[in-house]
Amino acid sequence: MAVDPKAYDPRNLHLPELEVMHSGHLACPGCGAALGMRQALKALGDNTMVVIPACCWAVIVGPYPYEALKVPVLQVAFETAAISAAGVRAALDAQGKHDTTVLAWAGDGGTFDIGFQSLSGAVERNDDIIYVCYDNEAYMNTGIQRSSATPYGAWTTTTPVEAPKAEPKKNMVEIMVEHRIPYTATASIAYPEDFIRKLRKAQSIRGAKFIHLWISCPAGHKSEERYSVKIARLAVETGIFPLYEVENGVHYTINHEPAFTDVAEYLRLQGRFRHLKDEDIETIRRNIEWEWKRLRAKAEMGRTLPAPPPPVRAVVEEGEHEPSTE
Amino acid sequence: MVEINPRTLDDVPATSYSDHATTAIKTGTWKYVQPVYEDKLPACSHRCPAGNDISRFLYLTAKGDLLEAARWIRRGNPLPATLGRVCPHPCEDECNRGPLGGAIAIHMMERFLGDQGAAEELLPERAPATGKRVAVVGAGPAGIAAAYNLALRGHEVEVLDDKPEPGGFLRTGIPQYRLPREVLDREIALVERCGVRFVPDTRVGRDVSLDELRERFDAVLVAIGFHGSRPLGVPGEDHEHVYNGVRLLERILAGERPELPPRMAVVGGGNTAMDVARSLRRIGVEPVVVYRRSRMEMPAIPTEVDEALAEGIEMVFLTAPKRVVIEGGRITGLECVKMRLGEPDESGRRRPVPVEGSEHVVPVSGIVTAIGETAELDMLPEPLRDGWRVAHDARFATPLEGVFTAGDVATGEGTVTAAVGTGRRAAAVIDAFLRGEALPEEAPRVQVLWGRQVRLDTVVHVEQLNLAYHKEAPRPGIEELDPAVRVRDFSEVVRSFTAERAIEEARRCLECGTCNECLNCLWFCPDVAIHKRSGFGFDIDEEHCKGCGICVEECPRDALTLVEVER
Repeated sequence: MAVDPKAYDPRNLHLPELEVMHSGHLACPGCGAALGMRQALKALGDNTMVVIPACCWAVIVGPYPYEALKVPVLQVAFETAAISAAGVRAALDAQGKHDTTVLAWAGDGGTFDIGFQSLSGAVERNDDIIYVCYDNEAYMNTGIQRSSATPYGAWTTTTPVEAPKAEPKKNMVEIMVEHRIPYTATASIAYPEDFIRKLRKAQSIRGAKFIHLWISCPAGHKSEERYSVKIARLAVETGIFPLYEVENGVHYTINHEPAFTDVAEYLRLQGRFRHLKDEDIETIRRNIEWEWKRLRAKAEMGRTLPAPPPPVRAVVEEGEHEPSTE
Repeated sequence: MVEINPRTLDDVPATSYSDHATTAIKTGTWKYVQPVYEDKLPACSHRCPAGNDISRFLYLTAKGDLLEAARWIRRGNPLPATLGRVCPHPCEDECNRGPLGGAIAIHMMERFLGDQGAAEELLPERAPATGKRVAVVGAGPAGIAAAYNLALRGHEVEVLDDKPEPGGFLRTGIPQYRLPREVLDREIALVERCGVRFVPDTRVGRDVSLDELRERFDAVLVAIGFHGSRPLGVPGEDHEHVYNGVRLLERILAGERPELPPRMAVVGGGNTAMDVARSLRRIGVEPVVVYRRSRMEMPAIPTEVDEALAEGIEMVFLTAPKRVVIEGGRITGLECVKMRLGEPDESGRRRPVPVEGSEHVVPVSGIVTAIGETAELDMLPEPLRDGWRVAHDARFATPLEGVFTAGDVATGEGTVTAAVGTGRRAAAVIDAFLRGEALPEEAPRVQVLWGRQVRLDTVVHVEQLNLAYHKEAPRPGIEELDPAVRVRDFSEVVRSFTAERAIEEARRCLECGTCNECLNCLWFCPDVAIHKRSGFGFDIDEEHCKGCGICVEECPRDALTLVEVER
């Protein structure tokens, strides 16, 4: 029989059973950052240390004397996530604990803006850390102020509807790629298998790894709590947030070909875009098209271009996690 | 919660260090809405006149538990092997899989499961004997369904029928190439095994009176079906070679091979017309179907029409008979008039209007009428007669105390499936009556009798599903005997699914409104508040669930509902 009558598997997703997060954390209902951490630690396992700068997760993790994670967490200053993680790494290495993973877990403000120089420094030195930026596209924790991750057209308390953000979102992934680090990737909480595979791949590589995780934020995006995964999925399927990975700063793999659902579907579920006029939405559509042209051109370039000559930063170990294209 | 109450500086740690789990923080108090697991009525079952629990038996099949699936389908429906073969399967018209590769072949699944299992392992347990006795008049699908369900509820049931063998229209009106007799016989034998006694050759009003039955039994169910034929109403129809379709079919199906004219017109567009035409073809008569509307308006099951056409049966549409042409005592043709479709009538179909001057003769030497069946109620006492039907209320109770009705004489729906459904529903009412319970306002919906918790006030349509998780998958082909081969005898036309095909097809089911433990709810909970039970299903940790509703939204099949928290 080609069909195994006993092998019935109704699951849509196959995720690790391991649970490294507690209930009772202080994230808002429907928080994408909480879901992202849950998925991340499923991937990385319980031999992990987490470094958290000022960001939502500094609150979510719990007030003294409580902790939401079953692994050690070090809370550090806003601008120091990457460099503190590198320090933890050095301390662990000095103790011979090479198999412990160090995860820097920072928001978009602590990554795109305030932690930018220390992050750039750490990855330029190719420190052996996994840095995940969970991006909800504004300073949500302090009251929804604009960051350089806020997209064009979005409302925040510092870009009110009379003057919404006029500039495009900073392209953090490409900035990291240009450091020629061994591994850079994007991920989404709506595609946990892809996110988990990327984290495990990052875990198998020595050197600096950067993952840009798009998350929903009901409080800051002014969206319904129950739509948090739906909106994250639409961010991918509309083409606004492509899922891809880049090795050694040159080899691009697009992991998921979006359905290119009309972006209006995505925008209308979020109050922060409610003021947009048809022409603004058209601008966003044109930008999606242009970004995808650029991404495909880079992917094409990466196919023909050889790996960069020495000196290279990367120490890529043989891993079981090959890039996949869906 | 942990006490934090430093009295002196010495009580304050040099570095704050948290080592208590946040589970102590009861974030469940934040919520004002909460998710609940709640299976709902899938669109297919909603449309099933027999009330089959389709998503459940497909789930069991998908798991490879074929016997359990077969047992589940037989919990209230004694005729799945039969219905899977003869039902026009309206369930498939509603199937939410439709736009994603084609509806699940539900009728093939029902048929497959109906054919599974040995008698001793199939039947549900009977309730303890009640000592109550029920007479069921009519051993057709409605009577059999009612008798089976009443027997399972512990009553003693006798089914009287004027034919020598039980089955009613299933035996006398449905040809073997659609329903092999061994299939029907097996299902009837299973019903007998539940304790139902079939009494043949007994016609109520001739061999026994209804009053006598009312005296001897605690309740009586009248389910005598439609066996009368409507006349054509054209000159010449009393000729010996103008046959009543229902009667002729009964004789052919019983194995008689009457001397028939070589070419016969079959007048009508329903299932009887198709059955007559295809049966005639199989005994060497050339049929020509004459129907007054177009193919679109034919009441016959579309696949039956397709199969008839594949067998080379000639059909003339928009043609109505006017007169039987008789020359020298022999029929030489059927004079007809062409029709065109006018405004819709009360049935919603466009009314055929004669085209003036279009009279023409269809050359035939015999005619079979198959323009619809009616009840023959003349042997029933006056209070039961209400036009074409047996008088009854919403509970299937007739004006006579303890006398109930079901099937075509009650509702006139005209399908075997509907007859089974009304039989099941009437049985539930009779059961309450026999136990001396208050009768319900109306007969329960069949789905109420499923024996599992399903919310019946909402139907899961495609809009309620999360289509991100349902990928397209094509409907499998259904194999038929080659038309040139099958017209030689009454062999079954459609081949059954293999077990492998059936399991594959069951796995294509979207399980609308029916939790199948896909784990989406658990994976996507940001609060780790959903836990797998050791048995089937999940527990929601009320103390920590914040009521965000992501689980409800990400459920691919609408098996969760967000409800307001009661404070």
